[in-house]
Amino acid sequence: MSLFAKGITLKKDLEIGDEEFAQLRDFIYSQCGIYIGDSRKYLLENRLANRLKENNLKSFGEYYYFLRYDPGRRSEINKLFEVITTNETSFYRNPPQISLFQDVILKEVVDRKRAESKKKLHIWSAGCSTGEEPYNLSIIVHEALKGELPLWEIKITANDLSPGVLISARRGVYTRYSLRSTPENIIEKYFHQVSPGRFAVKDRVKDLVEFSQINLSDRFQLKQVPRSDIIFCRNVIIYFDTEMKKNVISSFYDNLLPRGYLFIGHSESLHNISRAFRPVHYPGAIVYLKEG
Amino acid sequence: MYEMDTDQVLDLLQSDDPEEQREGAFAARDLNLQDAVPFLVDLIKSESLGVQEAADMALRKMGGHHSVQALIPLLSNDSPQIRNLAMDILRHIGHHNIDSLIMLLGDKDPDLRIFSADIIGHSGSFMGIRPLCDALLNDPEVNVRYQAAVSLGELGRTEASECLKKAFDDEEWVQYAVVEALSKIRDESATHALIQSLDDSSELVSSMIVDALGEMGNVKALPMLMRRMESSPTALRNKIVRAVINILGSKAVVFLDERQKDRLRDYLLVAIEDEDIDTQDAAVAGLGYVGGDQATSKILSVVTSYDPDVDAYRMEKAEDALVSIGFNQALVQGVTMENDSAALAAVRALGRIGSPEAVQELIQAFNSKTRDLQREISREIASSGGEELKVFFLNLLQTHEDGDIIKNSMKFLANKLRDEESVTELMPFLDHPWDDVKETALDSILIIGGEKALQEFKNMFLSTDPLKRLMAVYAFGRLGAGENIHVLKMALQDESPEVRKMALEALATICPDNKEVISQATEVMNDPDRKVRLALVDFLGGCPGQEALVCILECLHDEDEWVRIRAVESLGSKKDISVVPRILSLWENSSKLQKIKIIESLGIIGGQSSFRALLDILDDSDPDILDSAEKALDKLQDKGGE
Repeated sequence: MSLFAKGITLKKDLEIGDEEFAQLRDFIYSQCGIYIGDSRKYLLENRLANRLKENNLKSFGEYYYFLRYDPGRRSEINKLFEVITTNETSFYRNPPQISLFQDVILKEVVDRKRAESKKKLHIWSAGCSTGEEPYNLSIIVHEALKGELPLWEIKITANDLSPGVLISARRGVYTRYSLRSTPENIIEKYFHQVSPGRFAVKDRVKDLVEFSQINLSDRFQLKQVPRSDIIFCRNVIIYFDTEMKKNVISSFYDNLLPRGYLFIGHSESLHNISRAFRPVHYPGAIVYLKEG
Repeated sequence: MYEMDTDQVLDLLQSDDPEEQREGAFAARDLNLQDAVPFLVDLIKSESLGVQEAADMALRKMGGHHSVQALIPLLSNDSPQIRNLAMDILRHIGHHNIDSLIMLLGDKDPDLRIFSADIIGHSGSFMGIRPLCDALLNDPEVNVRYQAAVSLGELGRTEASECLKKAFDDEEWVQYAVVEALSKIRDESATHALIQSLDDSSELVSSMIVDALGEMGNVKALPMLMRRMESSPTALRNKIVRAVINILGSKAVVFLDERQKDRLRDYLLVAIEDEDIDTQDAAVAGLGYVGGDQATSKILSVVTSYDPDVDAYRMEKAEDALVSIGFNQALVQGVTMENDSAALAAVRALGRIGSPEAVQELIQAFNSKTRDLQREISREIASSGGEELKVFFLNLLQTHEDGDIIKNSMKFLANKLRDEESVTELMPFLDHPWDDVKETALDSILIIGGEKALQEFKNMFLSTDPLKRLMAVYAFGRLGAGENIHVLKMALQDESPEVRKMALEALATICPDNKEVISQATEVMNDPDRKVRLALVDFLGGCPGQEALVCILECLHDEDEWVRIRAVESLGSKKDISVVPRILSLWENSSKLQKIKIIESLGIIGGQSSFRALLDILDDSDPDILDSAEKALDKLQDKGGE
């Protein structure tokens, strides 16, 4: 029960000390490669305050202890991941990128595969959050291949750091807000309404997608992902420091098949991160090509 | 991590397959395999960008004397892309072999001399200064001399000032770099060198020198700058004005005589129209120091071009200047300006000035302004106004629907007036649909306090709505738990755990003075809700005496680990050595976290039994437990030493 947004208590608000911040920052970095800069100290304090209240902890130092030693630490670490990553996303997010994927990149890859008689396609959605992106990609693949789809071996691997968002992703139920940019005919074709304002993704869309947890800071875990034709990793590397960005992008390079494509967030860039990809510019969007 | 040996890595690096080459490069990097350096350098020339990048990442990480030596030949490669890549890596690792780079400064190829000067500049090495000075003063190629000056600036060492000063005789192109370098060195000798060169330099170089002196902020540059101000064309004079303000700041008022201040004001009124934003900002600040009605008008006129969201910092500086100039008619007219930014700046400045006449102007303007400006006005006068504004704010509470304005009004009635009569007006806002308004209402009522407020909350405590009862109990805690102890005792029996928990938090504030509450509070010892039991341990920790101690000892056997941990901590804080055996009795069945908390508490309690127990714990095989025990023992020994 919470009277006001922050909850009501006679205890003083918790503040994060410099040492506590450094401990938590290093712990988070060691667990998932996400780097919280000094300028985001108060953001961390704000976001973790509820975790402390939830666990009845007195200080951020205790929260650090809790994360390291408590028997329930694994589940708390997953909650920590949820709190420190923001998951705002939607279907057909960033239309220029989606159009580029739909009208150019997917078409090129599919045509090439047809010509090579290798009807196998793997797309990797790294940082899939609550599932909008991989389901969106599945819908676009359905639209592109239509009746030919059963002749293809298609898989969309969808990963996220947070198990909490993956539960929601597997469920595949979305509000009107998540579908705000989705054309009505697509909603009718690939969703069914489960209650007023709530829409579930149809099974044929789900069938192409396989969800699992992944930690992008774990190079060996990334090596287990099947080689991809196209990788989507949008608005994820912003959380990493330069070193970590370089390692993750390098792993994507290794994962991509020759002439494979990488999509990153529209406001992200590989400048000073990698020169291995060739940036290909289109109106309103850039995609990165691994040359064959 | 890698099960590969050296030969396997070297085989991968020599493979024809780009994927294997990348794998080899990453393995060499992670193993820091210096034998791999020649192969990695070879891969920098690969046609595959992916392979090139892997070799690049490996060489940067590994660094070392051999890597530098092996990369230097690539600086002569025919491909500009490979040359640039080698340069970039060498900038990163060049300090591992500075001698080889210094030797390169004597190469017959001027491009190589430029490259080596550049890399030495990034090396941070003191050893680079002398060779770079030699290149600056003696190299026949102007671009080498230019790069040497740039690199001396990068190194930023005062030892380079003398040779940089001599280079003012060189071509203008070199002089640019010299000015830049001296501004980075920033010390006395650099300032001196720049001042001395000002008179003999071209207009362009002079302009750079003026900028540099302004940034360096050395007051010794002032006489020369003031002298040059009179005789310079407008563009250069604006820069000089900016430099003078940067150096002097608010001391302009003290350091300059009246005639100089008047001249400076005239120049500032011109400089504020300069197209360079930094110059405009310096002029705004300067006008704030020298003052005048005309200065206020000019500042407000510049502010019309600001976007309050994007230019928040500039707005703040303009407001500072307006406040510094003070109340005048130009500022009053500013409130009526149609431009929102200027009106906002004028409102904020008047609010900060806060004189009765300034507040009066704001009240008069209130009704004719937009919602955003009304919010500003209400915020400003709530902090600067007094009793005379009571009716104004009570009226706002009744007539306005904007949350910010309502909150500002409530804050004024509470913080400024502590007006008990207003409690009746504030109570309805506890049911406001917005949390922030509700929160401010509650806080305001509790700041005002008094019998009227207390009675309102007593009535609220009888509500069937648990949220209202929670709010009431919170209020009893803030208004004085001692006076409301009988209601708080009732709250301990409330059906809502949140209310019971809040009651304990409230009682905790009076425990040291009122021991009777312990027996009441311990009635929730077996509360089904762990949060309530946690609050109980917290409460008992703050209560003195044997009765509280006995209750905490009982909590050591709670089914919830965190309740037990809090009990251990509470016992530690009481520093009573008699509890050590009871704490230690938990050890066998404790989790790691509970063990660490036990250790910490023993370290706080001290005494022989704690000391012996900690020594025994040193036999534990867990490194985290050992580490905690060592820290606790150190603490005890420090205490013993005191």
